[in-house]
Amino acid sequence: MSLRSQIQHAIDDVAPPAPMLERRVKAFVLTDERDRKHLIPRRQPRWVAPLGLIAAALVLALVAGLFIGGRFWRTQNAAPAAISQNELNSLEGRPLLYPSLGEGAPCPTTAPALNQGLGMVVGAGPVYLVNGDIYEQGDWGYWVNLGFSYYPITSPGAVLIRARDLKADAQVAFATYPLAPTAINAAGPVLGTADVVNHRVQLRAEAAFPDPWHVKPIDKKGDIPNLYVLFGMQRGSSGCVGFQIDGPNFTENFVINPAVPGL
Amino acid sequence: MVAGQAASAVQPVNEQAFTDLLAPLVQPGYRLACAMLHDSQLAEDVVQEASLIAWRKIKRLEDRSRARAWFLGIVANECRNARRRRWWRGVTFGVPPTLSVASGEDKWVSDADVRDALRRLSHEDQLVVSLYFYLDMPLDEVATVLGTKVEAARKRLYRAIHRMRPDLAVEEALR
Repeated sequence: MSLRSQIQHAIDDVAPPAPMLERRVKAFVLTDERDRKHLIPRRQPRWVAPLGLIAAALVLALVAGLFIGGRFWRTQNAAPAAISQNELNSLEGRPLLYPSLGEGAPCPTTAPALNQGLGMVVGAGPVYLVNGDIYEQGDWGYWVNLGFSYYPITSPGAVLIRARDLKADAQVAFATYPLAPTAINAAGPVLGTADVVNHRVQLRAEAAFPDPWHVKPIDKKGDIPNLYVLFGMQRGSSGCVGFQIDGPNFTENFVINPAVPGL
Repeated sequence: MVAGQAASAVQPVNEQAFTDLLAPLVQPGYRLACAMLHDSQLAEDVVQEASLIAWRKIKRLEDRSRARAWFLGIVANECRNARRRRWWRGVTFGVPPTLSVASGEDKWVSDADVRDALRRLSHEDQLVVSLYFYLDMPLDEVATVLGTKVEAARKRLYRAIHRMRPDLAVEEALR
């Protein structure tokens, strides 16, 4: 199959016929402004208004930073993510709600659910696990590239990801994804280093990412990076891993079991 | 100014004429939005917003023969805005049921993998691939949508193909 056919086939899957669209567009466009308010799209971004305020605050912070001193500004720029230590500490202070398993209990894996926009996802949202590509097995253990989605974003604030092996005493760790821009950075206590996907990465106990208003764009167009992070399970891991994700006004938990062979 | 009067002020051309101009572009716009967003409902919303923008800027369109490229450029911009407003990625099928080390070939076994590869491209790369391969647009029109010269559009297309399928020769990909 040619590349053209592959692409057309793949996109046709997500492009069902929309025979009423012309009528809808015509009605919308030709309607008075006053009436158009009643024909707004089904899904309006909920954070447009806060964005302006946050942007203004960021500009003020930028000006203040430049005023205070270049060294301070350079240091801020060098930071991998715009998450304050206080914010991180606050999220780390939330109680962990992993399920406790009895001896021999099965792994309480969270069933993937169908999300209208994302397909099959794990998690109750607003942060969803949407991808779990296995990358490789190394000396340290097994590595997965986890992809997350965050929607809707109703409040500004950082998000913290923590995990624990629920059935074994093996470590689990996060590492900043080294192959492409990502908004998720490994955070928390340093657990060591490992070689993954031909990169030496630092193993950390947690991962965190800021809200999209505090993410540095990856190009001049303002595109922001995706939410990828490497997740490792040390050799000896049960593969039954509980996750807790804490955000500005939510906490969610889910359990995955990537069925690592040999475990 | 009353809102209705404001609406009248931005309607300097005949409504029927504009509707005639816009209506044939809605479906191409929708297809492009689907290719960019992989979400049909969001694509409909984007086309609706893009149509309103087009309606308000219709006076700037000097060459009606370029209406499709002009409109698709607006749709593309709205897609970028929509993507930024929504921080999510729909990828494959969640956590894989079994462990396997993915190879370059394995990445292309399903439609979801193709869409994932598209999503990994930058906005401009995804746009050029969608216009050329999905909407079957000639390169000169693709260049108009991108606001670049044809040669620049060609280079971007080649780069995007290479990023999607580094194992595939460009000549083979263009078949």
